[in-house]
Parts: sequence; structure tokens; C-alpha cells
Amino acid sequence: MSQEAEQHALRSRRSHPRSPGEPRLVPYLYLLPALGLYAVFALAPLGHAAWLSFFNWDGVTPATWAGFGNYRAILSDPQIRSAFVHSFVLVIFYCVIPVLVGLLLAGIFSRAGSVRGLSGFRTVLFLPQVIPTVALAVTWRWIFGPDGPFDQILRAVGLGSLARAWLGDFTLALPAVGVVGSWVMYGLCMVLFIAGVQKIPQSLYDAARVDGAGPVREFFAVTLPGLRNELVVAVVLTLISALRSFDLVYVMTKGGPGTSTDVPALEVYTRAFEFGEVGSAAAVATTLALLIFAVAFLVTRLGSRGTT
Amino acid sequence: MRSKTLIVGVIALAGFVLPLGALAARTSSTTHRASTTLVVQDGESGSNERVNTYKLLDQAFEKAHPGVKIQHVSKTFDQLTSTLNLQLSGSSVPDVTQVNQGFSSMGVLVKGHLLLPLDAYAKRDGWAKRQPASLLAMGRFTADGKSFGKGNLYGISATGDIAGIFYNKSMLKSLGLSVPRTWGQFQKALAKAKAAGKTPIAFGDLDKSPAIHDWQLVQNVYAPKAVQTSFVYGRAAKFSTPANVASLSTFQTWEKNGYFTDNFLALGYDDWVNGFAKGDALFIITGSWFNTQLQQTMHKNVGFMLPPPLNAGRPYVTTGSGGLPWAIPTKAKNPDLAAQYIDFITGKKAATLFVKRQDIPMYPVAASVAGKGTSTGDIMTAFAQLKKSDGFVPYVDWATPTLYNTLNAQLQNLLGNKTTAQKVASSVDGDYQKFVGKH
Repeated sequence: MSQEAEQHALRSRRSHPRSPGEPRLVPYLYLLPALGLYAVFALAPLGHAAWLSFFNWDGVTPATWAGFGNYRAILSDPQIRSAFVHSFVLVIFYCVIPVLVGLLLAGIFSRAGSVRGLSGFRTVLFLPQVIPTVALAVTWRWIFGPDGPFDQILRAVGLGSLARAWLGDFTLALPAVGVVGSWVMYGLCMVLFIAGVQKIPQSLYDAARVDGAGPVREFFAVTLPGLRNELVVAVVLTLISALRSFDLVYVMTKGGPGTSTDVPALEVYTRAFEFGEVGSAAAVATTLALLIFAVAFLVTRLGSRGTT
Repeated sequence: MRSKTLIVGVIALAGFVLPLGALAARTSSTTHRASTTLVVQDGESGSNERVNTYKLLDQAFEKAHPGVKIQHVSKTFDQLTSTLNLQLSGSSVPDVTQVNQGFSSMGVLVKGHLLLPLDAYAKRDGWAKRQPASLLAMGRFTADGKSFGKGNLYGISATGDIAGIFYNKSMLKSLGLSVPRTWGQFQKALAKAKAAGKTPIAFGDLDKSPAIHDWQLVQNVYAPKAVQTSFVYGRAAKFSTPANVASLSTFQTWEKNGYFTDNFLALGYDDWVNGFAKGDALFIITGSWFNTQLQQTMHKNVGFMLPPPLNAGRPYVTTGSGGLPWAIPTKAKNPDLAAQYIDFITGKKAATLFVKRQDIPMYPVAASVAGKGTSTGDIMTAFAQLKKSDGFVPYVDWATPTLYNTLNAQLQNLLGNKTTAQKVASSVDGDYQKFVGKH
């Protein structure tokens, strides 16, 4: 093919994205396998749950139409409201603290370039992410138990007056569960940020150092702006796990004492599987899903502003 | 190179095909020998001793019915209750399964016509002679699934569980006490143990479940049996009666007096039940379901008593029921054989095996079979006593699907002094009215 012809071909491809006679829908064929799986295992159940939320259904006998009845009931139920408030408290522990700790660690690791055994440290710090949550929850139930290791440590450092039965305390049980969430999530944040730091050109650091920036200034001027994308990913992931948290609460406190650690996902479970109120459970689940979508959308929008 | 690949391929193929062929051969030979497979599903995984007893019974049943092979599926209680409704709605169902009593499990399944009424089998095999009417009632529903405790029989239990008080014999003796015969004596024993620096009642509620049994034992003492029963089976009852409120405030007073294990709201089963077994407390209020476990550690140092009545001479009343009842799904492939299986595991031969293995059968067996001075013997005696006085009361939380959850949360609030007895009673009424209104 001559150069001219080649250029012509290129040009024509630009104006006609597909060759003449090629069916319009062919690209979708390539999407089909993944889309099919996604539709069957994610979209269909999601849609089905949303559909169920408009019915009164016990899971066995024919359902009856409820309209927005289940949603109205949720709005007027103080227990559900407090469950949502609890999940926002958990956001502090699942999202804010892990992101801050992750940033700090990434900042340290980015400077401590050639410390011996660095990858060993990283592995240890990431480990909580790898252990099954139920196993973690059982372990932490013991750690927070009366006279458990946590209280023993407090006594050993002279803070014995603070020692208590954490999970049996009406105000402190929720933060206690939250601390476990922080411990699980910060490893993920750290790994994301460390990967992000490695992508920041060394020249920027060199320039900052030439300009006389100390570690703190360097962090805020170079590292933090360079991590914007990773920050968005970390915040979205941790936010989602905060809002939908179930396993830690279910194993550690079952929502107790009283209802002081009740969360929406636990309400979904009890309504669907213990009360036989599938419609009401689906309504809570749908509300939770919409909330998560909204929050995730907001974060990604805020995060992408300014980069483009 | 080529031949190497070929060899590897052949080996891989052989490794894959041969076991498959062997498997096929094995299944075909078993299907030839056993013409029928009976699928039995229990919800007691975790209670290893009991499941093992059932497996021994399976073998005995297979022996008595040549050609029958039992496929035994064991699930935990949570697994069973959370998946059974879906399972029985589908096409692949077990021939026999345990079904939890109450509206959200058995009631819904009856309403959906997914369980077979067992009345014809019960009549043919004389099940009514094996168990008192008040216990059989716990497996009854009207055919529309709306009324509990009457109507058709949909399930029958093989084992029995009653709530009561286990006591540490040597600790009781060292405190100079004898086994309390009245509620007053029991309360005095609690005070005396506390004064002597012992923990009167081993208790823990991190699992948000034991409180309901502990409190209901107090209710058994204060509220008349008819009131308790009509609340569960009836449709127009009120919970906020003086007797019920009194039982709740007594329960709260125990907490204020420091009668429970320290930090009980943060203690799981392992802590408080094993704590009692190790001798940490004088009493433990729970069900006979912990008997096997306590017996294994404490041997003859543990005794069992029914909640002592308010005044001497009044009949004994306690929360009691069969264990998870056995039922036959409508879609079962072998319903008649399934009924024979249920007849077998609720019969005399099975009962003897249960007692020998320190479990409590529903079929009447003399307490002496259990061995003298054992808590199993105490429980058998108590069971016989209750049968005579018909003193079984259904679990309060069977009244509505949500009450278990509501009451357990409220009782934690009560014991954390976040609410009052009167308010707990009102919230129970609220829960109840909501359900009756919908039903």
C-alpha cells in the first residue's frame, strides 16, 4: 500500500469508525460475556431486590403489593434511623482513620527508600486485609473481652482506670467495633498509596528538596497531590465497606448491647431471614444501595474535579 | 518432544478419567443395592453429641429397613432457619427435616402448603400416647398457618428441652444451703452466695440471646401458666400485666444486686457456661440443652432443678418444648418412609439411646436409666413431673416473628439500666399489636 493510500485508509477509518458492511452491534459482542455475567449475578439481583421492596412478602406464600409502604415504614422507624446513624459513625473508623494512617505510612515509606526489611513491614501491615473477617471478629471479641489483652495492656501502661468490658458498654461498643474496621482497612489504603507514590516522578521530589522542603512540606506539596486518584479509590472503597458493614457487627455484638451497634445491613439480615419480612428487608437494602451509590458518586465527582 | 507431550497427555487423561470411572462404578453399585435414599436434614450441627445420636439411629433404621440408605445432612440452627423456606419452595427437598416452631418458620411453610399434615400417621402409630397434649400443640398450626398451637400436626420432636436451674452441689453445701424448694428460698440462696463473695448466677449476654431464657424463668414463677400460654397462642392478650412487670423488675433487681457474672453484657457462651462448669458460680439459669456439656466437666457435682414455685405446693411450671420438631415436606419423594423414620426416632428404642447418651427424649423413659445422682436423671424426673402437671409453657418469643429480637434488645437495655420494666412491657405490647394487626 502506498503511503497516500495508507493515509487515506486512516482518514476514512476516522470518519467511518467501522468498515463498510460491518454490523453496527459487533463491538457489543465483545462486551457480551462480561456483561452477561454482570447482568446475571449483579444487575438482575439488584433489580429483583428493588422490585421486591414494593411488596409484602414472607418468602413463601404469594406476595401482595405494598407500593411505597415499606419505605414509609422505614422512614418512621426510629431503630432504622439510628442504624443509619451508626453506619455513619463507622465511616469515621472504616474510612477517615484508615486513609489518614495509610497516608502517613505511605509518606514514611516513600522517604525510607532503602530501609532493610521494608517489604516485610509492608506485608505485616497489609495482613489484616487478607484474613477472613469472621476470624478477625472472633479474635477481636476476645481481645476486647473483660480482662482481655486490650484491658491487660491498658493496665500494664498505667491506664487501668480505662479498662472495661468494651463490647458490653452501651456507648463504647460501636467505637470498639469501628477500631477493628480501622485496623482492617488501613492496610488497603497504605498499599494503594505506596503504589501511587512510586508513580510520582523522582524529579518532583528532587526539585522540592532543592527548594529546601522538609519532610512535611514535601508530603503536602508533592506526595499528597500526586495521590489524588488513589485517594479517591481508597475513600470510595472504605466508605462502601463502612456503610454496608455486617460481618464484624454480626459476629462481635449482634447489634447489642440493646441496639447500640445495630447497622442497616444487620437489619436487612434479620428482617429477611428471622422475621420473614422480605419486602421490608429489600426496602432497607435498596435504600442502603442508593445511599452508597450517592456517596460514591459524590466522592468520585469531587475527586475528579480539577484533575481534568 | 512430541512423544513427551503425548505421554503427559495420556497420564493426565488417565488421572482424570480413571477416578471418574471408579466413581461412576461406585454410584451404580450403591444404587443397585439400595433402592431408596431417604434424605434426612437436621438443624443441630454444633451439638455434636446429639447429631451423633441421630447418626446411630440412622444406622439402626437402615438395618431395620433393608434397601434404604439414609443421606444425613446436618446444618446449624442458623443455617437451617435462614434457608429452609427457600429450600422447601424449590424442587429439591429433603424427605425429613427439622423445622423451627413458630410463625416465621413452621407457620409460613404451612401457609405455603409446603409441609404435610402428620395427623394420619400420628393416629396410626399412637404418637399422642408418647407426648402430652401441651407439647404436641407446639407442632400444631391451623391449615392457613394463622393460628399456632391448634389445628393439624405438622411436626413432632424427638428430644425435649426444658429451662431450669443448674446448681453446683459442692458450692451449695459449702454455703450451708440445701436445694431451694420455693422461690423465697432461691432468692435467699442468691443473697447468701453474694454475701459470701461468690457469683450467684453465671450469666453472659454478648450473644444477645440468653437473657430471654433467664428472664422467662422468672416469668414462669410470677405469671400464671394460662396467661403465658394465651399470650403466645392467643390473639388478643396484653403483656403489660402486673405479674409480667414484676418478673421484669425482679430480673433488673438481680442485676442491681450484682447477682450476675461481672461484665455479663460482654461475655459470650464460652465464658459464662464454661465458667459455671469450672465452678465460678452457684447457679446457672438455662435450658437442658447445656446438660451434656456441663455433665462432661462437672460429673456428679451438677444438679438440675425446675424454677421453684412462689409458694410450696404450687405446681411446677417452666418453659419447655420439644427440640426442633421433625416434619415432612409436601414435595418429599418418600413421605411414607419419612413417617416411619419419624416414628422410629420418636419411639422407645430411640429414647433409650438418647438417655444413655445423656440427652433427654420426649418418649417417657424411667429416670433411673440415666444413672443416679446425675443431672440427666434430675431432668428426667423434672420432665415426668411436668408431664403430670402439664406444666410446659411455650417460649414467649414464639408469639410474633420479631419478638425474639425486640425482647433480647430490650432486656439488654433493662439490664444496662437504660429502661424500666414497665417500658419493656409496653414495647413487647407494641411488637405484639403490630403483628396481630398485620395478621
